[in-house]
Amino acid sequence: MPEGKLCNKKPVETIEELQALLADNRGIQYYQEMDELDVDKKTLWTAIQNTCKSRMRTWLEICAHCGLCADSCYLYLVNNRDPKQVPAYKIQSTLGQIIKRKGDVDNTFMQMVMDTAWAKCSCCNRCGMYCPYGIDIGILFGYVRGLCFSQGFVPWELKIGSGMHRIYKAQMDVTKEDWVETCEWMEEEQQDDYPDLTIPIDKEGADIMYTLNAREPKHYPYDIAEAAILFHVAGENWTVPSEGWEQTSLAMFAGDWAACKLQVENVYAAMERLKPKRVVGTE
Amino acid sequence: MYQFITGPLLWLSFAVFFIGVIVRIVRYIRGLHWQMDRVAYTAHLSAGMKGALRSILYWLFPFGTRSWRAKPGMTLLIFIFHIGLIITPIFLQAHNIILNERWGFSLWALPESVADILTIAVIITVIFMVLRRISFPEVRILTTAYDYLLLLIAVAPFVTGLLATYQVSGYKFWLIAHVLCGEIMLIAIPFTKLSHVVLFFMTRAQLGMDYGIKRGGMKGKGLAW
Repeated sequence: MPEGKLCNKKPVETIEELQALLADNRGIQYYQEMDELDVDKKTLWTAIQNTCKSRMRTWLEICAHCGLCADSCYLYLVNNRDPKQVPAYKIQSTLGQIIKRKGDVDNTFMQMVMDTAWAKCSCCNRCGMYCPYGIDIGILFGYVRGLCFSQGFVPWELKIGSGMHRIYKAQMDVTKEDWVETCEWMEEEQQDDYPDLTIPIDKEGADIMYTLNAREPKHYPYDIAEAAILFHVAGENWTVPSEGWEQTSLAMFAGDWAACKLQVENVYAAMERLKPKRVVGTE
Repeated sequence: MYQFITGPLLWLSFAVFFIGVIVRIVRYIRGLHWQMDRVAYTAHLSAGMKGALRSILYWLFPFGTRSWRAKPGMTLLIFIFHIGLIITPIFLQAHNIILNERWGFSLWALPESVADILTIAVIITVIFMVLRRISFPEVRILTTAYDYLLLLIAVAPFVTGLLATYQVSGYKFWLIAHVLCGEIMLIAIPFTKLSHVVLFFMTRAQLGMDYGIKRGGMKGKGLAW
C-alpha cells in the first residue's frame, strides 16, 4: 500500500506537513492511514543488524525469565499485576519477537509494538535496577521506539512533537523572534518592581546560560519573568541564548534519533558561541 | 565406555566450555559501542571501573541490593542453589581423589555430610524453582520449555551424582549417567542461557559502568550537578 498523506515513514520537515497533522483532530485520519502502512521488513532487519549489538542482544538472550522485574514496574503494579505488563514479557513479545523473526512482522504486529513501547513503558529504567543481570528494559524500549519511528509507527502527538523540533528547534512553534520578543516583554513588565532587572540575551562568558521548555514563552511567559527575578535578586551573571534556548526533546520520546541529535547540537552550538561557565535548564 | 567418557570426551567438554566462555566474553566486549550504548566507557574509565566493581559486588551478596531484599525467598533459593552448584563439584572428595590420581594434586575436600547436604539443597531449590514457575503468574507468562530444560541440565549431575555415591542398584549406570550429565552441562554453558556463568559479570559490569559515569557515579566529581 502506498504511504499515507499524514502517516508515513518520513519525518515531518515542513510547516505545511506539520499543520496538516495538527489539523487532523486527535489523529483520526492519521491512525486510519496507519492501518494501511506497510512494514519495510528488509530495512527493519538491516537497521537491527547495524544497531542492535552485544549489550542489547545479550540482554534479550540471557533473560532468565525470573520475574523479578515485575514488582519494580509501576505499570505492572497499577494495572492489577497483569502478567502482560511484566517488563520482561513486554520486551520479549515485541523486540524479542522481531529479532527472532528477523524483521518479518506485519502491520498489526507493529501497531502492537507501538502500543507497548509508548503506552506500556515510560523508559523509567527502574526494572534495570531490580534485574539481577541489570537488563534495562527502559533502554530496550527506547531502542524499540527508534525502530518504530523509522517505520512510521509512532503516536500522532509525537510525530507532531518531533516535527516541531525539526522545524522550530523547540517542542512548540516558537520562532527565534517570538522568543526574543517574549524575553523583552517580560523584562519590561518587571521594571516597576525591579527597576534594574534585565534578561540578557547572547551575553558571552556569563556564569549561567539558562535554557527552557518552549511551553514557557508560548503559554507561561511569567515563568521566564520569575526566573529572571531570582537571578536578579541573587546577583547572578546570567544569559539566555537567542538560538539553542530550548532543551527539551520530544524527538527523543518519539524515537526520532536524528532530530534528537539536531536538537542537542543546537544547544551545544549556543554553548560554543557564548561560552558560559554552566548551563542550567528548567526541566 | 567409562574410559572414553572420562578421557577424550571429558577433555572435549572442558575444551568446549573454556574456549566457549572465552569466545562469549570476547564477543561481548567487542560488541560494545560507546555511541550506541551511550556510555563513555574509555573517557571515564576509572569511574566506570568503580561502578562496575560496585555493581558486581553488591549483587554477589545475598540481600546486598534492594532487589534481593525485596524478594527474600527468591534470593535464598538463588543463592543456596548457586553456592551448592559451584562448591560441591570443586570440593567434593570423590572428584578430588580422581584429580589426585590423574594429575597428582588435589584441593581441600568437603566432609561427606556437608557435600550431601549441599547436593540435596541444590535438588530441593530446583524443585522450588519449578514450583515457582508453575504457580506465580508473572513468572508463568515468561516461562517456556527451554527454561525447564535448563533446570534439568543443571540438576541432573546432582541427582545422578547422589545416586552414584550411594551405590544404589545399577551403580555403573548412574556413574556413567553422572559423567555424561556433567559433560552435557559443560558443553551447554557457552551455547545457552547458562552462559550467564560469565555473562552475568559482563552485563553487571556494563550497567555498573553506566551508573558509575553518567547515572550518578560522578556526582560532585567534575560533572556539575
